[in-house]
Amino acid sequence: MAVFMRRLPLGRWLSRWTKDDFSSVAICRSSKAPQRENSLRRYRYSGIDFPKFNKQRVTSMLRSREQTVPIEKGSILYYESNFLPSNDPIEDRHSVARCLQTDAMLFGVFDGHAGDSCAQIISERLFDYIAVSLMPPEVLDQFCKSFLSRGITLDLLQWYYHKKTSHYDALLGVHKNNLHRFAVETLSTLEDEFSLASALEGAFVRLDNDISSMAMPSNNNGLINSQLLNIALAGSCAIVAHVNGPHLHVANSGDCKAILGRMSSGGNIKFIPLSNDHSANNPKEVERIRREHPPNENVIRNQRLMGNLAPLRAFGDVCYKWPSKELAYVTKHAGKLNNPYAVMLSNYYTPPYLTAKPEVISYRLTPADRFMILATDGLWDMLTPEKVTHLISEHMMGKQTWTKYEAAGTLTLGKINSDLRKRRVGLEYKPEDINVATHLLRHALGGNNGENVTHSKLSAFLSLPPELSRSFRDDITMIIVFFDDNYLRDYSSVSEPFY
Amino acid sequence: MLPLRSKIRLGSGNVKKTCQKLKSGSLSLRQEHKHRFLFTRTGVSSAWNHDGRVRQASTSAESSVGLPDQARVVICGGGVIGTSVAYHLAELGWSDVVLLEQGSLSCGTTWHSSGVLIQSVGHPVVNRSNSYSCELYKKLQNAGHALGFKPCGSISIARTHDRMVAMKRNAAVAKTIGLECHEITPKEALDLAPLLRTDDIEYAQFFPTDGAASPSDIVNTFARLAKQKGVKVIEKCQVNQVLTDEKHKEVRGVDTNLGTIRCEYFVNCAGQWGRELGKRSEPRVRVPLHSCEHYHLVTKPFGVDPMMPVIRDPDGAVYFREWSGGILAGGFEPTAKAVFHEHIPEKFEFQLLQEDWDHFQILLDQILHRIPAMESAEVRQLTNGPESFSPDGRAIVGECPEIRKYFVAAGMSSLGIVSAGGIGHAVAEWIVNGEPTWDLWAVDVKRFVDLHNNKKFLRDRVKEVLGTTYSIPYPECDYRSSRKLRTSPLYPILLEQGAVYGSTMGFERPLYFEEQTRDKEYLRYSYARTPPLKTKEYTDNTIPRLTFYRPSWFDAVASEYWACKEGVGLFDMSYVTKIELKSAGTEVVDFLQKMCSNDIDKPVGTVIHTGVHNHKGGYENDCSLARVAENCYMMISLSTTQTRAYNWLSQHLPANGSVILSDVSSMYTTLNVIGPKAKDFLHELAEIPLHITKFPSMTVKTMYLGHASGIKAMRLTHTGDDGWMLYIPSEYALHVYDTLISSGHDYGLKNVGLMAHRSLRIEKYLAYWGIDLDSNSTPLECGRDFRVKKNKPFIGQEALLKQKEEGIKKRFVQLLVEDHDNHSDPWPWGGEPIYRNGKFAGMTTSAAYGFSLESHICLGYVQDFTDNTGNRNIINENWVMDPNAKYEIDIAGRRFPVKVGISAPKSPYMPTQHNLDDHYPMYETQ
Repeated sequence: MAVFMRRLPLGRWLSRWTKDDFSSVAICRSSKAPQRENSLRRYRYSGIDFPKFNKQRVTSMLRSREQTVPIEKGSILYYESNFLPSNDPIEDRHSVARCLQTDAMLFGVFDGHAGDSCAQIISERLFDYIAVSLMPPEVLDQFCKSFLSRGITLDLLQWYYHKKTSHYDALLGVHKNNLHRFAVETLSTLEDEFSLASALEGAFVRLDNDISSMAMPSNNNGLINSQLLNIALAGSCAIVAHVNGPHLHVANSGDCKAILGRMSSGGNIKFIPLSNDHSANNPKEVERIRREHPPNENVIRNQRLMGNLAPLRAFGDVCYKWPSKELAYVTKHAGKLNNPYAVMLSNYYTPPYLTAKPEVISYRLTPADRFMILATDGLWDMLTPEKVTHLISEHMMGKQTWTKYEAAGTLTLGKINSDLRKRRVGLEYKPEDINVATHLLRHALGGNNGENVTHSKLSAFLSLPPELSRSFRDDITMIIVFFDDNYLRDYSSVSEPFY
Repeated sequence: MLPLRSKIRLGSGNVKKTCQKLKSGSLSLRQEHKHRFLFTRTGVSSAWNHDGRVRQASTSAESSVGLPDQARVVICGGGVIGTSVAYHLAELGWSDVVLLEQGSLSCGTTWHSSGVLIQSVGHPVVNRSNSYSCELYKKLQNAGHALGFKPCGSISIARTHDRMVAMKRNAAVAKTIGLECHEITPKEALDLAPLLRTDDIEYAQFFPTDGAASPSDIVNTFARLAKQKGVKVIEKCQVNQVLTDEKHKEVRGVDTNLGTIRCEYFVNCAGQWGRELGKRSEPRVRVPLHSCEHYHLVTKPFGVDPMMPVIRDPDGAVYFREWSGGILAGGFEPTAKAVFHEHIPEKFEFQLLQEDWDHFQILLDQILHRIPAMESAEVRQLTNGPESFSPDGRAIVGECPEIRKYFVAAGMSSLGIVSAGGIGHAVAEWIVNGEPTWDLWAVDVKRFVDLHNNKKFLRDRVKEVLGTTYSIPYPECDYRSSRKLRTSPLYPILLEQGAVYGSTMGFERPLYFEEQTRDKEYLRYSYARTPPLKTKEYTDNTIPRLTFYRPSWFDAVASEYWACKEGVGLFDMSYVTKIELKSAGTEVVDFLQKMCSNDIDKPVGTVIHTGVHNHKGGYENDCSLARVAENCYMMISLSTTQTRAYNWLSQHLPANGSVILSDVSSMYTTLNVIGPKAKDFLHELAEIPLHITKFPSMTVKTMYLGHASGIKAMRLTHTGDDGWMLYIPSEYALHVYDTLISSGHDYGLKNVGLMAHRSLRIEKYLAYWGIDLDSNSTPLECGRDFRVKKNKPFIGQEALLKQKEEGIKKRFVQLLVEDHDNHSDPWPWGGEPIYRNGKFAGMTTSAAYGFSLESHICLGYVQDFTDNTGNRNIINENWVMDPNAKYEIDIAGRRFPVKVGISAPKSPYMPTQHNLDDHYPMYETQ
C-alpha cells in the first residue's frame, strides 16, 4: 500500500496517450500527493474504446509469472503463486522456503510501500530470523559457535522462491552480524516454555529493530548511510505462514490477509480467516493505537495513521517510529538523500506510532482443510474472501478435467461411466487457466468481484500505464497452498503434542 | 539459498507414453483382425496377410514391377472405395488400371471402421447402392472369399412416436427395392438380441438382410480380385500432382514420387485426404469434406452371440455389433470434434487419435442404457479414428465439374463400408459408359458450390453433420451452422417482417412469414435439425416443433397462398441461378440451339422454357431462357443447379471461345410478383404499359420501376399464375422492395415464401429440376414433348426420337391424395412410394397441400416394374390413366388412395376478380 506520491517512470506507455498529455505527465513528475488526482484527471484517453491488448497477450501477461511447485512432503501437496505489478517496480514480494532445522514450510507475502526496498529486505531476511528463533537450544548453540569460527556455515533454509537482487549484497555482512547477535541473545534468554507464536513475534520485531537501528544516524556517529536509511524509510506489511505437519501458525503485521478453505459437511468449501487486518477497518487495532497515545493527538485520521499510512502495523517506516530528534537530523540532511519520504510528520509528539509486532493465529489442520491462500490487499480489494474461496473450489473441481481420463484395463464400463459422470460436473467449470493463482488473477481483474469476466476489462487493467494503474488497483501477489488430506487424515488419528 | 528451478504443471500427461499405448492398442486390434481372418478363411490361399509387416514384405516384391508409365485409369487411394472402383473396372473389362496408395492398403480410415452393413438409410439411390454392396459381399463370401461377412440382420429401435414415423417412412422406401423389413414387437427384439433393454421401446424393425463384415478383408479381396484381372496396385506411392492438358480441361496424367503415369482417367478415392488431393491439380478440384473424431468402443469378450443382429438405437445416437465375443458400440454424438483442420498428416497409417473419454461419455450413457449387460464388461479399446464427412452427410461421387475425366468418390461420412460396393460399381460404370445407370444426383459432386469447399465452413458444418446422422429426418429441417451465409439484400427486412428462413446451397430463402414476429434469434434457428441427444446448446424451446404431420405454419401459408390467388404475393427468389450467355455475333444462338430442345431463336424480348438434355435425352437442366438482345441470353434455373448447369454449358462451349458464359446470380435480386392484381399494382409504379397485349406472357422487358432503372421484368411466375419475375440490379433492391410494399396495401400485397409458392406450382403440375426432373427423365416422360422441337439438331435429340418410337417406361403424374385427414394423418412430403393395383410403381418427388383443390397433391413418376432390379415395361397414357387402375401412396406405412392425373387439374376455385384485360379498357393512371 503506497502512501506517498512517487516519481513516475514514463516508459513506452506514453505513446498510447495523446501528445498534449505529455506536459501534464511532466508536471505530474514533480507534483506531490495532493495534486496527484488532479494531474491524473489531465490524462486523456486517446479515443481508443476497444480492448488494446488481444486475448493472447492478456493471457500471456497473466501467466508469465505463475508458478506451480510440488512439495509433497508433510501436510502440503503443492503450492501455486502468481503476482502482477501495478507499481513500477512492483512493491510486493513473496518468499517460500523450508526451514531445514525443523522441516517446517514458511510462506511469506510482503506488501511494500514507499518503494520496494523494505519489502525486498524483509523477503530475504525475515525467514533467517524465524529460522533462528525456532532453533532447538543445542542447534542454536552450534550455530553461534560455527559463526564465530568461520561465519555462517549452517544452512538455515532451503529456498523455493524469493526475488533475488544484488542491490543489497554489500549489506550481507551487516545482516550476518545482526543474525549472529540475535542468535546469541536468543540463546541467552531461552525460556523453559517454548512458544512458537512468541518466537515468530520475536523474529518480526527483531528484524524491524535491526533495520531501524542500523539506519539510525545516532548509531553511526551521525553519519547517514543512504542505503540503510532508504530501506528504513520505506515500509512493508508482512504475513508469514509457518506449516509444520498439521500445525499452522500465521503471523500477520499489516493489511495482507490469509484464509483457509475448509470442506464443510455439506460438501461446499467454506473459508476460515487466518489473520486480522491491521487497518482502520479493524476497531480493535484502532483502539490499541489510540490507547497508546494521548487522546488529543487523534492519531488515526482519514482512516489512516497520522492521516497518511493505511496499514496500522508495518516493517520500516521509521518516520513513524524514530524519536523526533533523529528524524529532525535526517530531514536536515535529506537533500543528499533525495528521498521524498524523509519527512517530519506534523503533530509528531509521542513516537513510536507504528510497530512490526505481528498478531499470530494458531490452527491445527484437519483432513477437511483443503487450501490456504496468502495474498496482499491488491487481491482482497477486488475479491471478497467468499468469492476467492468459491473460485478456488470451482477451479479444483474443473482442473481435474485438464488431465485426460484413461481407462485402465480392468475397469468395467459401468465404473468408467460413473467416473466420467463425475468428471462431467467438473467439465462445466473447466478453467481457462490451469494455475489457480492465475485463475484468481483473471477473475480479480476481469470481473466484478469475480463474476462475468470480460476481455475488455482485463485488457483495460493490463494496458494502463503504471501511473494510472496505481490509481485503479494495487500490486497483487498471492500464494495458494494445497494440503494433503490423506496425510492429515493419518495425522489426525495420532494425537501427538507439538511445542 | 537455492530456489527450486523446476516449474511443473500438474496433470500434463506423458504424451510419448500415451502414443505408445495407443499404438499398442491399435496393434492389438489389428492382430484381432488377423485372428478373425484366419478363423473365417475358407481355404483360399492368399498372399495377403493382415499383419502389416508381412504384407509390406509381400508388396515390396510386387511393386518391384514398378510404376508403369501409362494406364487408362489411375485410382488414388487404397481404401475400401478405391479398391472397389478398381475391382468394378476390372469386372467391366477395363484392366489397364493402376491403383496408388500412399501407405499400404486400408491403412487410412478403412481399417478402423466398424464394418456394420445397414442398407436402409432413407434415400432411394443410397439404399440401392447399399443393397448392391451387401449382395456383392454375400456373393463374394459364398464364392469362397473371406470377407468376414455375416448376415446377422439388424434391429432398429424407436423410442418416440416421431422416430417411429421416420422409420416407417424409411421402411416404405426400403421395401420398394425389395429390401426385407419386418415390424417386430419388443418381445421379438428381445428374442433376437437377448442383451437388449426393451422396456422403453415404442417401435422396432428387423432387417434380416443387413449384417456386418470385416473392412480390411473387403479391401484385400477387392484388391486381390482386381489384380487377378490385371490391375496394378502400387503402395507407398504419393500423388504429387494430377496433370491436365494445356487448357486445363482434361486429365492427362499423374505425377507421383515414383514417377509420372500418363492416363485418361483419374479417380480421387483418397478419403479424408480427398480435399487436399483436390488441391494438387490445375485447376483445383473441390472435394468438400473435413475430418471428425469418430468413436467406437470394443469390450472384452463376455459371451456375446456372434450372430447377434446389428442394433441401431438412433434416439440414443448409438449402434452395436458383436465383436469377438464382445460388443462393438459406437455412435454419433450431437456435437462432434472436428480434427485435422490446420493440417492433415501425410502419414497416418494404422493410426488413431487420442481418445477423449469425456467426449464419449454422452454416448456411453446411452450404450449402457440400451445394453445394461455392458456395465460389467471390461473395455478393450476406445477407438477414436478420424472420419471424413461432407457438408450434407452424403457421399461425394462423380465426375468433377472442374476437370473432365477426373472422378471423385470420397466423403462417405461414416458409411464407407456399406457404400463401397455400390459406389465402386456406379463410378466404374460411369467411367466405362460415360454416364451412371442410377440417378446419382443425391451424391453427385456437382451438387456443391464453392462455398462448400471453404475449410472453416466445413469444420463447423461437419461437427453438426456427424451428430445429425441419427437425427429424425423431418421435412424442411436444416442445419444450424453456417446459416445466413448467402442472403438477398432484403434478408434483414424480411426477417423483421417475420420471415422464417430455410437454406439451399447456403442461400437463405423465406419459407413462410410468421404472423407475429418473434425475436430474431428464434427466426434464425427455426427449422434447425435437432440431434437425437439434446445437449445444452440444443435445448431451445423456442424452436417450432418439426413434424411429419400438419405443421404449425399451415395457416400462415394458407393466407400467403390466397394472396397470390386473390391479390398480390411478393416472393424474394434471389436464390435462383442466373447465367448470362453472350457472343459477338449470333454464335450464342447456334450454341443454344444445339444445347436446348426448344427453339430458342425467338425475337428479342421472348422468354423460352426449355430443357437442356444429355445424350440419353434426360434433363441436364430445365430453365427459362430470356433473349435480352440479338446476341445475349439470360438463363434462369434453380439454385441447386448452379454448379451443374454452368459446368454442362461450359463443357460444350465452342472451342474457339466465341460464346462467353458468366454466372451473374449475385448481380440481381429477384422478386416474384404473383397474382391477378399484379398487373394493376405494377402499373402504378412502372412506366411501360403492362396490358396483356403490350406485355404478353413469356416476354421480357427492361424497365423503370419506382425511381430505379435497369430492371428486367419477365411476365411469368414459375407457378402458372399471372405475374412478373423482376430481376433487379441488387443496388436497387431495397428501393424497389420499399416502393412495392408502400403502395401494395390496397392490392392485398403480402410477403410470401417458398411453401406457398410450392403449393401453387404443384397444384399447377409444374415440375422443377433437381426435385421432379433429373438426368434420367425425358420430356416425353413428363408430357413436355410440346417443348421439344424436331426441326433442328440438339444434344439428346436422337435418344428422344428413339424414345418416341419405342415408347416411354415412366410417366410424370400428379396425384391427388384422397381419404386423408389433414389434421391427424401424417402428411406426404415427397419420397413416398406409389402403388398401382397394389404393385410398387414409383416414388413421389414432391408434395404440397393444394389449397384450391383442398387436398394433398404429389408429383411423381409411375412405372410398370417387372421385377425388383428395376426392369420396366413400356407404358402409355392409357396404361397410366386406366380407369380400372387403383393408385395408392404409402405414407409412413399407411396406404392412401390417390387420383392420378397427367395434366393440370381445373381448379374448382376461380378468382373473384377475373383478368379484366379482355373486357374493359385500361385507364392510364396519372
